[in-house]
Amino acid sequence: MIEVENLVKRFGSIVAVNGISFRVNDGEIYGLLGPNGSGKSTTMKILSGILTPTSGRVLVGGVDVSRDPLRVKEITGYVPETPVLYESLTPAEFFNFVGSVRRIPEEKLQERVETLVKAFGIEKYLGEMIGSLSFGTRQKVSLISAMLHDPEVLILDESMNGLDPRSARILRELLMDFREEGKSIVFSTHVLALAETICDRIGVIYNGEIIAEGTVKQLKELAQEESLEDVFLKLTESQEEVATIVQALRETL
Amino acid sequence: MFEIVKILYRELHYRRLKNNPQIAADPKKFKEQLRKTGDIKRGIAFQSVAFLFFGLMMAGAVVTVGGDDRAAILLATYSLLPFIMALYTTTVNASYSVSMGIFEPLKPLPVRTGAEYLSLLLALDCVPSVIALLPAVVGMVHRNPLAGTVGMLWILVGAFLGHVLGLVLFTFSGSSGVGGRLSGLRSLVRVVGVFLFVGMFYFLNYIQGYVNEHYEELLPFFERYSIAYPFSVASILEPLNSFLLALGYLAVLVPVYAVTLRKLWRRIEEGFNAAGAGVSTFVARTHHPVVALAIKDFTIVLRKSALLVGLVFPLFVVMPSAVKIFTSGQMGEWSVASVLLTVAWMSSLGVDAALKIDGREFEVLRGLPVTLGQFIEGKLIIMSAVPVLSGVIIVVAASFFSPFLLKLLPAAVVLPLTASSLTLAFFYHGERDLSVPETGFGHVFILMILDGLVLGIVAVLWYFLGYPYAMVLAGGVVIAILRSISR
Ligand SMILES: Nc1ncnc2c1ncn2[C@@H]1O[C@H](COP(=O)(O)OP(=O)(O)OP(=O)(O)O)[C@@H](O)[C@H]1O
Ligand SMILES: [Mg+2]
Repeated sequence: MIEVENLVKRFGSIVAVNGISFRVNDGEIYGLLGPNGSGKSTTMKILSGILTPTSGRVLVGGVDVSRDPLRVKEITGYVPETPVLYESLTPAEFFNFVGSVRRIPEEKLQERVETLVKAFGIEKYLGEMIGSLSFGTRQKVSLISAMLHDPEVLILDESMNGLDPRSARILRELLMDFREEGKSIVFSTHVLALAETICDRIGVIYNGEIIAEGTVKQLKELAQEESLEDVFLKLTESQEEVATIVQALRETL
Repeated sequence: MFEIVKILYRELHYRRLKNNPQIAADPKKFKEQLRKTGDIKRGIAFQSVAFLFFGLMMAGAVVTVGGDDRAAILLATYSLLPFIMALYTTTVNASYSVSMGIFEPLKPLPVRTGAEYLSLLLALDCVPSVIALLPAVVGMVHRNPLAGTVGMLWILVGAFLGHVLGLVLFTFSGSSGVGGRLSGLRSLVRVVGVFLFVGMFYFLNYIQGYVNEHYEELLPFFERYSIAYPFSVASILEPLNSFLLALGYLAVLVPVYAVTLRKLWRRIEEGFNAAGAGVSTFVARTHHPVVALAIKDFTIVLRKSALLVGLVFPLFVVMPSAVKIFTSGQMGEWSVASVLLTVAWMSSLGVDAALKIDGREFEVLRGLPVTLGQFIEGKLIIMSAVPVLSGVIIVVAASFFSPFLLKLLPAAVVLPLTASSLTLAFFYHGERDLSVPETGFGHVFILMILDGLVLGIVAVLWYFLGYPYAMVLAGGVVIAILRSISR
């Protein structure tokens, strides 16, 4: 369960998140959609205890993020939008490192790593330095390392990026299972079709504010549009803008 | 052909720089370094100038030493330099160019590539060390033209020997993956290389003094083993024999070279790269978080030689005084203690390297439930490891001369911990969040004074009240700091 109330985050004079409130129930996948720079990643970093809010209240699994970020990190798994990993360690070494820091018992770590590594098909990269792996493989290492401790809450920032169709499908099925188990999942993406298939509810964030929220069906009704893409463009006031730009492109190219 | 080697050279150095976190994290520094080392001519010229500094030192010794025999022995010793440099650069560059696939972009292009490129590329970086010996060779020619010329031939043979040995070492060291059979060996070669470079100055000084003093004992030794490089170089005073011996060396080396190079090239052609080489299974192995942090740091440091230099460097400042004690044979408690105190004092210099290990990958830690206390304790282990280890070695070595010195072992362990924990307390004073502080020169300077003060007080206690009191104070400081950290 995640509860966000009037969350504000400023970086100096930049207001990245401007008073948003939303709530993600147990067993729910919540999608965050929004244009580049609208504050998705910032919000997700706050949810995972990495950034402290400027003001507002954020409870993750009942724990206040500002009060006990460490506890929040213990119960969440966070996958950043670009995988940051120790490049001169191997995935195997990295998993052992994460397992140690998270105090995962050896047998459980062994079992989870084996299962997840097999699911994402990266067995043969276990002994290579992470720095020499492909982008998608790194993304998988990052995903696996966030799931090792069986977290209550998963924060996935554009985590489908770079995954091949097989792995993307596996991740999707995995998320569905997690939902069944009652975990709360926050998921951001620019691929609207994906949001439509995975997310129970969606929050559209624009300039640091949530401008619309609901199921895909509710959003479509709200904007009176047929596709999620048109909903998105309309809500973020880009529909006419896109039309003019496309027109200009056609004329010059 | 030159055009291609130029591109490959640039690529190779680009990747090597990217692997150096101290440079890669700073885009401006990175660009500048790349301009310096990435350009083939500039890079080699730059290094040659640096090496020539040693070269002139060596030449000075060859010219001024009394007697041609001594000059020949000196030259023989110096000829180790191109040999080891060639060995070092060949193995390191080969592992980069293969594991990073720098030949890959060339494959789809309509250019002829071949093993020659590889060899040239790998050998280029040892050119400066050969150039460094030119002044010494000129000095030798000045004394004895024929001997000097054969000497030059030997220098080249030496560099070639190093190159070939490096190729053999790399080619037969199995997979390029981390778990490769000889990966430990590669780390070792790296450590030795680092030591060698920084220690060169002391080494040269020492050799000159030693040759001058022990010339009579050395001569028969060099003669007896004259078939083995580098002793063989001393044979240049009999130019004909020496020349034939050098030819003998080449007769063996050239075929080995040809075979090894072909084998290595085939490996590259087949698209042998880091990704997917060999299946490995996962074995869960967990530790206490602090230990896990330290292990992670050690692993990274061993794979990034630039960081290793930072951690090991302080030792070189201490080495001369340690050596002096052992050679003088005067091993009182107090003289060993003073070395231990200096080692401890210098350990605070390692803070810069220790805190730079994570680099931009520090973000990883922020996503994990790592406390500031755990982080600092991990860094304490990293910072003190080298000083503690060397202190223990010094004490154990000293105890062979006078066993009672073994009682200094606690000091060897505690003193570096005192200095390191003070250092970390200084930087993390009042800090609550996981972070990496700025470790500028000014800070380190203030810190050296602070550490010096505390160690000074320990020393005073030791001198006037006795060893146990000093240990209680030094240990007390560590415990007090550790306690305030973990709160
Ligand atoms: N550390 C920071 N310092 C200053 N400004 C920041 C920082 N992090 C984010 N911002 C700013 O906050 C705003 C929101 O950024 P954020 O990364 O949350 O956007 P986003 O919705 O994730 O975008 P994208 O779709 O491109 O990933 C941007 O204007 C960004 O420039
Ligand atoms: Mg983002």
